Amino acid sequence: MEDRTLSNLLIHLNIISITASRENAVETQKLIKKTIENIRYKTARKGQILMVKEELRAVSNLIDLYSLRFGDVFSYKVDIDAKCESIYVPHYALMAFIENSITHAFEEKEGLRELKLSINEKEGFIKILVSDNGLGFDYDSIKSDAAVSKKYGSIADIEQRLCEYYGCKDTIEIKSQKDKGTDILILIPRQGEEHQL
Amino acid sequence: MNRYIKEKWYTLSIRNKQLVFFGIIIFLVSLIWFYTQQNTYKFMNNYNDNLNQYYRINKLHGEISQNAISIENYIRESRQEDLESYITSKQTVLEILEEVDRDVNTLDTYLQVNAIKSSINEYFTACEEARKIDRADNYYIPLYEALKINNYIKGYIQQLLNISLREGNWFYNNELVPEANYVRNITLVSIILISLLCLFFAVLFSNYLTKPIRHLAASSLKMSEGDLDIKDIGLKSKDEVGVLGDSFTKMSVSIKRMVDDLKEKSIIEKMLHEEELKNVKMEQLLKEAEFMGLQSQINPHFLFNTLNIIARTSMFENAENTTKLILYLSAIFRYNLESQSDYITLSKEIEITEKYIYIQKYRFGDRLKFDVQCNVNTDQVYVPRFTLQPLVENAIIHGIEPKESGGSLRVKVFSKNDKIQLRIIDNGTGIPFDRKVKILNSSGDPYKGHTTGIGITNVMTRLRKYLSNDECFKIYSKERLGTIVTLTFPKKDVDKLA
Repeated sequence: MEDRTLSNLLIHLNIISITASRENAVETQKLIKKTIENIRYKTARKGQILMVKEELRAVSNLIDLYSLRFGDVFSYKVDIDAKCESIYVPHYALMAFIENSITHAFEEKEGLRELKLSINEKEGFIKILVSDNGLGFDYDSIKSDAAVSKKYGSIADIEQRLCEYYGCKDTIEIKSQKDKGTDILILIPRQGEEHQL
Repeated sequence: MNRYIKEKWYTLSIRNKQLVFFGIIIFLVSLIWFYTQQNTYKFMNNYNDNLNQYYRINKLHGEISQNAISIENYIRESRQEDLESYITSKQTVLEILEEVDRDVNTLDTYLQVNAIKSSINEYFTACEEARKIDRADNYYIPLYEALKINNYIKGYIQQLLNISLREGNWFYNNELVPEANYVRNITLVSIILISLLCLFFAVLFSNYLTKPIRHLAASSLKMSEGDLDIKDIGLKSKDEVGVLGDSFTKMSVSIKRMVDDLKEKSIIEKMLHEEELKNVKMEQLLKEAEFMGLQSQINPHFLFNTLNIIARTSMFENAENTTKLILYLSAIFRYNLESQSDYITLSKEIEITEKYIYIQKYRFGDRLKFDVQCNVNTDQVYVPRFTLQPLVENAIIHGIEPKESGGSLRVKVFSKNDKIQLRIIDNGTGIPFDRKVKILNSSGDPYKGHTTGIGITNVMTRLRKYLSNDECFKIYSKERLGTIVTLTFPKKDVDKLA
């Protein structure tokens, strides 16, 4: 039923998109399309293993929509090694942290909101770093909340799926300081060709 | 006295009661045993006496004969040893005679013994005479005299023996046998009596013991089946069974009290629980209504903000219709997000519904006609949140959408009998009867709405709970003709809230 609610929303957005195209509102149409894609990406690809490339596209969609509102106080920097774009990660492994930064870390942040995403390869490991200068949080207090930590897209959930896929432990490292910001470091072993099918 | 014994008896323990009973029985049995033993002894004594008498008489007879022989020999041969034998024999005869005389107890024997006595005296006198007479003389004359007397004596003794035997026989037949029979009968009767007594007491005891126990067992069985109304078992005695009965009664009373307490508590708890449950259910339903379905998938705040940005963009691009649509859509979302109060004015509900319809019209085009007829001030009518829009949506999706030619939808609000009635009328496909019954009877939420996640059942259940009245929600429907959903709100509730 949730899916029908969602698809109804998508239908409504589509109706609006058509109306916008009739009225030649190109920019509006683009934005609606991005919104639709954003929703679709989150819901339709649940549980899949995807290329980092696709995650990055969703991230840029989200960032675009976000910077519409906070363009003047929001800075986003990406530094991505092109070699790493074709590695595989579980769905929402990147998006979850970007979303967290946007919706939680920046919610009551004053001043410039800085978000950095970098992906590079080092000593046989893929290193993904998401860092913001937001409010910071205490991971242990969230971890103990079963309702939160079991939810799809939660840190624990992503770590579990990463570990399942790569067969390793402790892939996510969190450094967070109150009112200073949060660094999320994801370390996954660079593997052979079998993961690049 | 009787009462005293009775009281004493009741206070005795079972063990002591049994001891008393066995004591009585043992006493009675030993009494009878002693009596019979005594009798047997008496008979034996009697018999023995008789036998002794016979024996003595017989011995007397023998001794007398011996005496005659001794005296005869002495007189004929004048031997000293014969004389000695005669003298000892005489002594013995006299002694035995004395004994026989002592044991005489009837007249016949007495006379006979007297006769024997005098004859023996006669005999011994004759013997002495014969001893004194010189050998030369006719010494044999007194001897023969003596021997003659001796023969008489023997006859007498024989007679005495006969008499004694006859008497013994008579005594045996007329005294001993009836006595023995009497004793036998007495013993028999006593044994039967004691047996009966034992039996009686055994029955009494077992009854006395088992009756209260049976009573107890029946009571405890009743209690185990849940009937705690045990009357006093009514045991008078203070022995172990009485204690058992008393404590059982006490126990049943205290259990009853406890159960009553528990019942009372559980009723209160149940009431509390029901109240709680109702609250929880309400909260849950409202939460469902609060857009939860969507919230778990996308962040509604983010979506809402994004929609506003898009609306602004479209405004810059002069796309008026687009702007309006986006604003309406975001208004619906905002309405969903502002869920602080449970009640909202009907006008607000209608406004949201109209916005929803406006978007829907872009989808359905001419297939959907909608109007609102209202003759009350909707600003002063309060309804639970998310009442109208889910029902309208339901009507569109299930009633009008499947119909190729489309249909029209009318919301009618009017006042009737001090109550506000809200009708959602459509001329869609209608609801089949069994499905209608299913909807009206369901308390869960199998049918969820599409835009807000709120289904018809949710609305119905919430309304019924808010108003505590099952009559507030009604569906009239005919297949292929359409459906009318009627909601009724009491005015006083509205006043109170206003």
